[in-house]
Amino acid sequence: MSGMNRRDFIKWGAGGMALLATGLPLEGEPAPLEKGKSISRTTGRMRKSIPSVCMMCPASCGILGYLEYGKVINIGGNPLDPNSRGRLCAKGIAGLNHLYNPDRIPSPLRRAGKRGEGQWKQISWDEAFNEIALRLNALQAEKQHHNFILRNAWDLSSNDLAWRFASAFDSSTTFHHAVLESPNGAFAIHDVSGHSIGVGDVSHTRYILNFGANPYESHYLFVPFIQRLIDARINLGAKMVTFDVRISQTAGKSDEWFPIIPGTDGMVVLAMAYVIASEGLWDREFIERWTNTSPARLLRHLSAYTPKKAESVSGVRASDIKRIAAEFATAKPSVAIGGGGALKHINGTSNQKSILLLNAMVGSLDTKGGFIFPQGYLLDPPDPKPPKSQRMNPESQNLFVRVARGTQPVGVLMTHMDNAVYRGPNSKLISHVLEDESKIPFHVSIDPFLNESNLYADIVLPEAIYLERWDLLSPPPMEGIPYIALRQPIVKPMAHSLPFSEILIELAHRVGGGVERYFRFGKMEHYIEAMIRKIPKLVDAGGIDFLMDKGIWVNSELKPDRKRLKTPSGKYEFEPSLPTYLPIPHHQQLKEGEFHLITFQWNVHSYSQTANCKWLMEIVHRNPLWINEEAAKRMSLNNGDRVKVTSSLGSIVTPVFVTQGIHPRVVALSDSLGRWNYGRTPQGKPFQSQDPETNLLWWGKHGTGVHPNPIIPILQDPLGEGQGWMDTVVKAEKV
Amino acid sequence: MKKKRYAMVIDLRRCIGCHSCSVACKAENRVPPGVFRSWVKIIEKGRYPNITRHFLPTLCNQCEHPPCVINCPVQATWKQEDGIVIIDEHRCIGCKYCLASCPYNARYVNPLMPIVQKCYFCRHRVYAGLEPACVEVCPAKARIFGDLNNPEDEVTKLLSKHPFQTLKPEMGTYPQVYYIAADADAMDPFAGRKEWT
Ligand code: SF4
Ligand code: SF4
Ligand code: SF4
Repeated sequence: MSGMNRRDFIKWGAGGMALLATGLPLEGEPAPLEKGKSISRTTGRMRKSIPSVCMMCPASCGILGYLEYGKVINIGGNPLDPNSRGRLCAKGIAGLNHLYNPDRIPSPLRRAGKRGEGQWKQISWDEAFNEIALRLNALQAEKQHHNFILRNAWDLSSNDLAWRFASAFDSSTTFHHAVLESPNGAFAIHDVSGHSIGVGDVSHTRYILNFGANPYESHYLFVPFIQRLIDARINLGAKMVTFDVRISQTAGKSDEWFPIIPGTDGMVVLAMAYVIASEGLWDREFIERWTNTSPARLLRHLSAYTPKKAESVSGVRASDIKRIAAEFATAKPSVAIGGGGALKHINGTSNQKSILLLNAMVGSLDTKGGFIFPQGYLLDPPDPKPPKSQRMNPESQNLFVRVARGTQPVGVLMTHMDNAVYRGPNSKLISHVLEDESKIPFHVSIDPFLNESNLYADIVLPEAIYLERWDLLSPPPMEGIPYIALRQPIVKPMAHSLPFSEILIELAHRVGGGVERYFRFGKMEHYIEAMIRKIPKLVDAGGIDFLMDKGIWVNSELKPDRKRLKTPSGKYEFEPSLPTYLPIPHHQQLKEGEFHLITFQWNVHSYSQTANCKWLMEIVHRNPLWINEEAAKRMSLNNGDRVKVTSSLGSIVTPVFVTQGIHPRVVALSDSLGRWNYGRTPQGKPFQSQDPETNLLWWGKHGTGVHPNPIIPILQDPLGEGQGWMDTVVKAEKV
Repeated sequence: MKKKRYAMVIDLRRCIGCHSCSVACKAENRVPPGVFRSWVKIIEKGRYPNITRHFLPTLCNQCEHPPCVINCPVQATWKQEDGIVIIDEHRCIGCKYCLASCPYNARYVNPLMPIVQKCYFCRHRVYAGLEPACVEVCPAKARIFGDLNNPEDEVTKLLSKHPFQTLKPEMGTYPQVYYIAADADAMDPFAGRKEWT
């Protein structure tokens, strides 16, 4: 610090002006500190690290597992990952809490009491496999293959293997796979563009128009997405405008936040499209060249969506709609994105289509800084493959409705990392179905932990967690250049657990009857190698050895380029039915004392997966109901008072969090807390285990939250089949 | 070579309040449940519908004039030449005088053993050429660590370009954790709105 002494420097202190730049050279990069390493505090030795891929959420960030004396001592980011660029979120680090969790299932379990009583007997793998094979053989003998149902609800990387098993068994109509995005969002993107995934190219944008997304706290590409969004805001001065019913961290950090009546986003989006069209701010050329509609048709269609009408529906002022629309159309490039707040409604699919249309209006589809469709490598698993199934059902709640009604027979239900009772709406219906042996004669669950659903299983198989297994992935590349990531075991599976893949492979052979034909590839490693062999450039680079060493392989010869559209017309297809706003019928006449109940995710939690991580629970463990201060005053509620929240399905009682940051007609409860059967950690009370720290758990006394799903009815968007998570109407009364 | 003068800049224009830093610190330094070396304060401000959210990651400020050091009866804690305030865990008798003298609540007694601990800028990593754990992991690149004696260093450049703040400057402790764009209410332990977790 030449030319300035230390004291002077310090004096600038609080609220000080920027140091004068004089004498301080600003050019030149500082020598970067090294990344992706870890050193032991006690021995001073650099730790050995093994690269792999996170699975605490679907984003699949590259990680490094640091080892000391054969134990994973820490998890860091892999700097070679072009998406996450070496960064991680809190959940990614807390994966360690899963690995060394004292409640991991010690061995295969057979139910010893009634379903749901939680009485188990430990059995051997051999016994477990035999029993499951026997059950499946019985279905084969009775020609009831289709009564085998496989639900793989969380684990994206196992979708293909699970599909292979279900299809090989010929149960093609009843395979439920994990989805990367909201089913509604994915459906709309596919319908319009033919692509399977779409995301805002937030690194290069100057304007982010956000309908109900909360990327500061959760996003299906969380760490890769948010770091680029922040870069654009700071380096390019990108403006961000958020429409949301609640002051999420994203809304609270946006340049402008507009509270909006739940389910009315589509109306505002189309009104903005109307403003852009009627004021001639649109990119006519783009619309003519790249969409299957025409400016004239659009203008006619959109004229039903005036800002004034949108104001009366959504509560957002017409003047704001006009102003933001004009800003969005003139800031170039700009992008409109949608998240849960707009998509998890029964009109969510049309909302997403409207958002895509809004992007098209300003020429922001598949352009730098616009809405892009990042496609990873399409991995090609080994032959022979079972015949293609006809239909796979992404959102799975309806399965239980069908079973309850008796229209869906079940012989064997196999669930993998699936906790339908906790994750699904109408938890009671689902648990009743699972409890009923006449409806579900046999239920096998594959999971590292006991939970609210496999409490009802007949056999539970202890699964290796993601730090103990193999997978090959190609996540949606934010930079547009596809890459390959390898998940490899950082340590051997704990206790007697086995990876999901090995369980399926072994079962296939035991079941036989043709199923085994599709599992002759050997082990998971061979399955992966077969996929690698089909990527010659990767083979040249060293194939699996390269990946085991680095974790990530990027094809540096590829350049990002505009993708050819896979739609029949080769254009974005908004016709024949241009996007519309569909009012939600049962929202129309809310009575005094009634609220919209919406759900949300905390930044340190992901759905049903993280409440047993001590490091995360310590940060967020309570789950109070958010309520607007105005509304609270009317009900004479103070912070922490308890309310009874009643929907058509029943009631829950929860303390409230009184806040200015929520729409007065809305109450909100997160979907990740309030566990009743997920081991000891979520309860936050001290207990003895091999981990001395479990003696210090402390948050139990503050309350561990109530879960909203028991009072959320099953409601499906007829188009995208996504659950209407944000569509519940409730009454709230002080207790 | 010139002496180092370590400092951290926390750029609150970037911070997303994600607590990745809090958890990275827990993992790196084996910080037991109930205590933290690094914590993110989150507040909301304003009246509906004009509400904003503000984040404030906090850690030991490695004060230039550390009151915690002065009050230790057995000299178990001191400020190093490079600016890092450390505790010799073997000398510490757990008397908690330093705890009481720190205006920032940065120190705690380890619930598993009777010694006082706090953040020391991941000194073990820094001396091996690595960044502190919270800095390396931060998804928003909001935390920047470096040497204020090096004009080329990013911390120095950032502080020369932007107005900055420190916590409780009136205490005369001269913190070496600098904030860019910190919210006045978030920095004030008494003003501002309630925390929400
Ligand atoms: S965003 Fe977090 S939880 Fe998701 S993959 Fe990345 S580090 Fe893991
Ligand atoms: S990790 Fe970074 S972005 Fe997240 S809370 Fe900490 S400083 Fe803020
Ligand atoms: S923040 Fe507290 S513990 Fe850290 S140096 Fe300053 S006075 Fe000491």
